Amino acid sequence: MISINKWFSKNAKRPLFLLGLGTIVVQICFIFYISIIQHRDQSSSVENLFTIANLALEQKNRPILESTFDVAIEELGAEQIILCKGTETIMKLPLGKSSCENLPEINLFTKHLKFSAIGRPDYQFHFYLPALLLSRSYLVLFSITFMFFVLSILIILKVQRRFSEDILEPLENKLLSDNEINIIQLEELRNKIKKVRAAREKEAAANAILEHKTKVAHNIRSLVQTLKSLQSSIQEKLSPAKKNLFNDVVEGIGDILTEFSVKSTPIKVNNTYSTDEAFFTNMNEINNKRTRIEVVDVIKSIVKQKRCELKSLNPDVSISYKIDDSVSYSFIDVEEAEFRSILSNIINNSFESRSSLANKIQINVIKIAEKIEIRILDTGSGIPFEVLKSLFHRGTTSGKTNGTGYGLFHAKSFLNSWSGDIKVETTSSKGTVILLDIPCWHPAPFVLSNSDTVVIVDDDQLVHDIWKAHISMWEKGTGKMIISKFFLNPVDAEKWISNAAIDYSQTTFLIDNDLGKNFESGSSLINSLGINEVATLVTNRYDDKNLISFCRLNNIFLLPKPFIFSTENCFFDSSVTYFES
Amino acid sequence: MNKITTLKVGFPVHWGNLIPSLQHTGYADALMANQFEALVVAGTGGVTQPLAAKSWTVSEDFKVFTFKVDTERKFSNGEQLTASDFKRSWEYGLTLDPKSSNSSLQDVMYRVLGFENFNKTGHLEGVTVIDKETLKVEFKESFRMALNHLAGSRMSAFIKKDDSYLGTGPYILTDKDKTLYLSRNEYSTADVGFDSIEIIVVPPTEASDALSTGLVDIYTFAEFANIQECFEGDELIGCYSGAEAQHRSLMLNGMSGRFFENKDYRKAIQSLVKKSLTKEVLPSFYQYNLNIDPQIYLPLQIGRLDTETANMEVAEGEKHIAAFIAATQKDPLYMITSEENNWMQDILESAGVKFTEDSGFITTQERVKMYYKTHKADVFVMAFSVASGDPDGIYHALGKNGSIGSPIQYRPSVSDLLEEGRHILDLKKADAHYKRVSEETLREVPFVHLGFTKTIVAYRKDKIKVKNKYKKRDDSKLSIYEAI
Repeated sequence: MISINKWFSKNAKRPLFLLGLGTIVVQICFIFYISIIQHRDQSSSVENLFTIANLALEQKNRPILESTFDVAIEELGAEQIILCKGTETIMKLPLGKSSCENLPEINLFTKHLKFSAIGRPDYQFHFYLPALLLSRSYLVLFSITFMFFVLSILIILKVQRRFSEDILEPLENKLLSDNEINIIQLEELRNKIKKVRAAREKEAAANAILEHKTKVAHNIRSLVQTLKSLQSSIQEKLSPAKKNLFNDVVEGIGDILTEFSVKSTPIKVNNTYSTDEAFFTNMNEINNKRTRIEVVDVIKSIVKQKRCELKSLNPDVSISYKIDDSVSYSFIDVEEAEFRSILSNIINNSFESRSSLANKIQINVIKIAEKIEIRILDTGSGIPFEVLKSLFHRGTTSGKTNGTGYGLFHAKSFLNSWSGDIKVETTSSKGTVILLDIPCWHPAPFVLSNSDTVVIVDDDQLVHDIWKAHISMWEKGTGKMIISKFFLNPVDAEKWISNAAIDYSQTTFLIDNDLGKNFESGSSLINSLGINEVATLVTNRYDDKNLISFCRLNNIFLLPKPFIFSTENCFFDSSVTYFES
Repeated sequence: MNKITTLKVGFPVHWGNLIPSLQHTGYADALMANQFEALVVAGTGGVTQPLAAKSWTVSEDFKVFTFKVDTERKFSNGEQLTASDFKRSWEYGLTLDPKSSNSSLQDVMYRVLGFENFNKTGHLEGVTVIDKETLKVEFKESFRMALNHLAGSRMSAFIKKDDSYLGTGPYILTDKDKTLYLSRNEYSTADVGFDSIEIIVVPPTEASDALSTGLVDIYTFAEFANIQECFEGDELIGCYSGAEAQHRSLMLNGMSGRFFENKDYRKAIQSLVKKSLTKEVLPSFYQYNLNIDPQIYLPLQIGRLDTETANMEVAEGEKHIAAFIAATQKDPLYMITSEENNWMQDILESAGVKFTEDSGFITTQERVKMYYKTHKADVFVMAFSVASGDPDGIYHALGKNGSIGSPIQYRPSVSDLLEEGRHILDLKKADAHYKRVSEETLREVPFVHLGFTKTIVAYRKDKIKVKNKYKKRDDSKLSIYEAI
């Protein structure tokens, strides 16, 4: 690390100084060289003049002598020329005190050239010439260079000072403040830092919330564990219906805690940390945890739970449901805990929006055009118009006493991610109807081609018959034939699969999970045979979390068994294009 | 300081008349050189250079000189210069009554073919206008230095309009209220530094103060002034000088019936001056600018005697000194000088020579008149110009037809030798001949030659810039000065 001053010295002052010094040195050398050349030329010219003067002296031609003196003064810049005969001054130019008896003094600025006349050594020519022959232009050039060098140094020093005032000082004092900085780049930097700080603060807040929630979850988990330990002793004293409800509640709390843990894992989305937000904004990641749940089961379960919960608050509350037959054996592909939470919240909203003690809540479920429509009707006070406009936006409450407005925004986000939606169908002072719609889940169709093989492994003959019916329907419909193999005993199936020459690209395996007490499960069988890619696990335990996780991990497709009873067409022709639900 | 627009010039004496044909003083010549242009001009080292003539040819025998006149030049009234202007001007000049003893043109014109008939015909037969730009000058005999003598303002071409004389030079001279005004000749293409010049008389003793106070910007003929700054160096005053330009002499009146008709006395005073005149006794301003020299020719000039021979000639007068001094006791010498400081009289008086009480300074006009016309004084302390190069240059002072010659220093033997020398074309023979002139001059002593002084112009360095570094001997042009 170096200080700014040293940085300036290294990157500005020193290079400039070296450049200036180099330039001056080069100029000095050049001027010196020119001076040498000029001196040489001058001496040569003087020698030439001496030759002429010598000739004039020989010929006693004073006019020519005077001419040579004239040239020496005018052209060579001679300061004095004296022709001496011993100490007698014969000729002297220009005017001055000097004479042959008193020759001019020589100094640094004067060059003295002395010549004895050829053949007449008693005559001597004395030329006094300026030693400094540099033309004014060289000196001006040198002066200008030197001046620019000095000015450049002064400018660098000034820039250094201005840098401290305009750049460093704002960096120190204003970068972390709310005061705008006049330098564009610094202002952008300040805004970036501000955003990073805001994000960090948010992260810190999120982490703080997370920590708090973790603590809360941990505490609740502890309580749930305690509850579970007391479960058997408590359940002995409960009626069967309440026993089931108690189990559902305990499991529901456990599921919520599990989801809470998942959601509580900080997810970094767009460089920000947020638990709830990340959850809402990164549906793809969250929706990897979706499962297929049977609508009827979950509606019934929720209603039971809410009855128990809300009646403790208001014994007069009435919660009922009406499920259309079309919904039987219908599945939706959702994140179960979230779905439960959504319904729970909506029912809570309906309960909390009551304007009088009397409050009826009804859940109607119907299947229309492969969509499950769930209507929650209440006799509450209705949703005010001004609230209705932004009801599904975050922060808007629907009029609950302690409402935060978070639930409906939560509900809409998730439903949208499941290709569903939520809306207020009607609302008035007599009550409100909330409509949820979710598309029915259908597995990808089993697409078969002519001469394909279907292998069914199930210990229930009834299931074999159902499958046979589906196969027969397909063959009648397509006019094609498939090869079907049925096994009641998983050992036989395993032997056959292991030994037969099977073209896996043309074979579909439909294997029950529960193959009897004495046999391994269908999931293990699929895994051990390595037919994960082409096998479907058919099971009634389609909501078993562990089984769901196992199938996900081992890439095994899981089909709820009730589905094969509800649907007419399980198989489709490969030559026909179908729209997959 | 603001750039000056009018050049103010100091002059040591009044210039007298400014008619070219009557030019007989160096002062007037220096001024008229700015208005009037001759065919040629003397350059450095005696080299003659074109002026109003573009070119010329010289016949082998140096008798015929044919000039091509520069007809691009114009007089200050716009009239074109032609060859006939020179013939007319010269012929006109010969008709004027000279201010000097001889006509100013005489030392050249008397050799022109047909000069003897001029009084009758009014024309010079030997000067012929061939065409508008061609002028032929034919001499009776070979004339080696003809070109040199055709230089100078007295040989210029001019137009006479009423009482004014118009020239082709860069300036027009107007003499008014003791001030000479030079204004620009708009028809001249010469490059001048000032469009306006004013010339006033400033006595030499006041020259230094006049420059310091700004009364004048330059002082010409500064060799007559006591300007120590030229030798000591000065921040304000600079000096522009050149070669030796003046003979300093004591003109001895050798006319019949006069003191110095006695040759022995002339030789005695010459010898006495040689003995008495040393650098130490010179006034301060002469100590560095008067090269004491008894000879009329400069060292290394053709005709120069070796020192020993010259000294021997001068020493011949020594035996007459006593008699000379004694004679002055009875008949004191009347000496006149152009300088207020009559230092020469002091030196001779200290040697025992007696002078009249009225000896001393008189004005230039009085002195000129006395020198050329009345011849009253016995000794004239005078200066006259050094000719450039050729030894014939002394003719104008010592020749029979010399333009500045006076009967007081006319010595036939010297004059005849000079006349003879004009025929010599071979310079190798000239030296021997002009050595005889030197010897004869020392024997006949038309004047006691004191020495030579350099030409000097002093100027204000903060106002004036001089275009050249070396002053030409005959260069009097004021166009070489520029304002800073």
